[in-house]
Amino acid sequence: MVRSANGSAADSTRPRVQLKDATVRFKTQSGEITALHEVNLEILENEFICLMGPSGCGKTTALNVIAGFQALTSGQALLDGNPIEGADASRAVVFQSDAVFPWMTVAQNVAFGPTSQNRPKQEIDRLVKEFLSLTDMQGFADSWPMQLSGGMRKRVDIARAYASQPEVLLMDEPFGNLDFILKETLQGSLRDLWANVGGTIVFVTHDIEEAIFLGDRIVVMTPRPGKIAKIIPIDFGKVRADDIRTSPEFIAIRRGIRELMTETGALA
Amino acid sequence: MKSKASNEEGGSYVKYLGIASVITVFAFWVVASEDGLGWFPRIKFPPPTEVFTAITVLQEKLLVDAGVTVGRVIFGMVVGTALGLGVGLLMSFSKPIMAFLNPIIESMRPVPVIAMIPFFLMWLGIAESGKLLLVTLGVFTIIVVSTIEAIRNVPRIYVNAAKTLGATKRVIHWRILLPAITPAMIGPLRVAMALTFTLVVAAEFMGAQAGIGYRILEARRLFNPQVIFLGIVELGILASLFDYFLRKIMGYITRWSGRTK
Repeated sequence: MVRSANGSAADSTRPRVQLKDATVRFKTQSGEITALHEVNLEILENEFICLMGPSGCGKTTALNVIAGFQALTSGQALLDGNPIEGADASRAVVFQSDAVFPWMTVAQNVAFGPTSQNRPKQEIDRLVKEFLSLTDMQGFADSWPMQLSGGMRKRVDIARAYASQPEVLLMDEPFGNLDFILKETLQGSLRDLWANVGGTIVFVTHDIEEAIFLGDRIVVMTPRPGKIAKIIPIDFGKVRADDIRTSPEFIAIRRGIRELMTETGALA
Repeated sequence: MKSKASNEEGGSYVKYLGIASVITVFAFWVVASEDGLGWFPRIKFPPPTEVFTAITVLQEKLLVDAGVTVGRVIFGMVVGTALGLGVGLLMSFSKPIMAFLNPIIESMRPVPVIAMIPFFLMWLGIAESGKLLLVTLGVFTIIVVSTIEAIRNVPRIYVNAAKTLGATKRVIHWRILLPAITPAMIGPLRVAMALTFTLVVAAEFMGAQAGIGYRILEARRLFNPQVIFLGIVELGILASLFDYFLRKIMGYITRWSGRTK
């Protein structure tokens, strides 16, 4: 459960999501491909974890497995020790493409999760208010998504996912379509939001810098077959300022990941 | 994005072109009839003056006919659309229902509904129910197919997002699929509306006690060409009005979509 905005979301070492020898194979016209190969991963309570790697490394497949959109060929995917079967409200997803419902106002979008879960009206109103203000969208409650910019719609999408109060928040390259300035702004907002409210976030990206800035741990993945190359802990503290991006430590981590990717053949 | 530029393209005279086209047709009517140069005999082509006289002769019959026809049109549109949307959603909802109903609908659909008029007459006589059933069926076949196709075109991402936010299948149908298809339904609804007028008049030709179609057929028997003309003009005006209001209503329902006005 996402903790309320008192910042007391204590880090624990309890695993929320577990992948055990998770393997996904697809049959295509050109034969069978292994999208995910015996992946073992534990995602902890209130952890911001980034799955990072090039196209075809299985990061999105792993996210789809956790979301319940993709069944495993073999192995196990567990949420709090129970097998994941199909998509439900325990795991909200923010997609790369625009998934804000255009026929609902901003407030109706944010209210969709708690409304679908039949929460009491006062609680819905409170959640909508809280997350619109945490994402700096409080002035746009009655706007149609069509009237907003792409970056603002992403904020609505994140507010909607948070307001649904899932066990785990899944984000599939949510800022992939945005220009880099907007991307950095939204990365900062997301990290602040998480530092403030907490929650377990699995964030998929192909952008090394994005992964380092956002993640408490980076799971570096390599393609053909998709598997984990290394898990790198990132120690920039809970609240992160924009200037860490140019710090020597940041650049050193970045270099390390690039070298790792070159070694594993993911980067030529 | 709402764009006013496309409306103003080509200057302000564009909005008067619609009025101009109506005036042109009316002018041709005046000139070609015996009110003007008399190109066509009044028996085949009644002049406007005679048609206007017909209004004063028919008086309340005119309103009753229009009311009866409009009632049938509205009934067919409302019930046919509701059934078409409902069954279309139901078929997308469940694979067994789709597998069972699809062959029936697909084999019925290519049959012109008008061909069923004698069949309805056989079973229901000239009772109101036969006419209402006919229009409803005509609207239903258009709407049900359009609904199924429109639902197929709804991006999966909306359905997936809704699922991860805790929406049940019922919520997904009412709050995701139904609103998502409304822009795609405007065309089919307008087509259905035009067809509704055709079917109501055809049904009234086959047997009725009132209605514009009935009045037109009666006028042919009594040799009143001006009443036939009046009926045609009446239908034209009513059909345009209905289309206008349909577009207004759908424009309001889809105001979120930013489609070109």
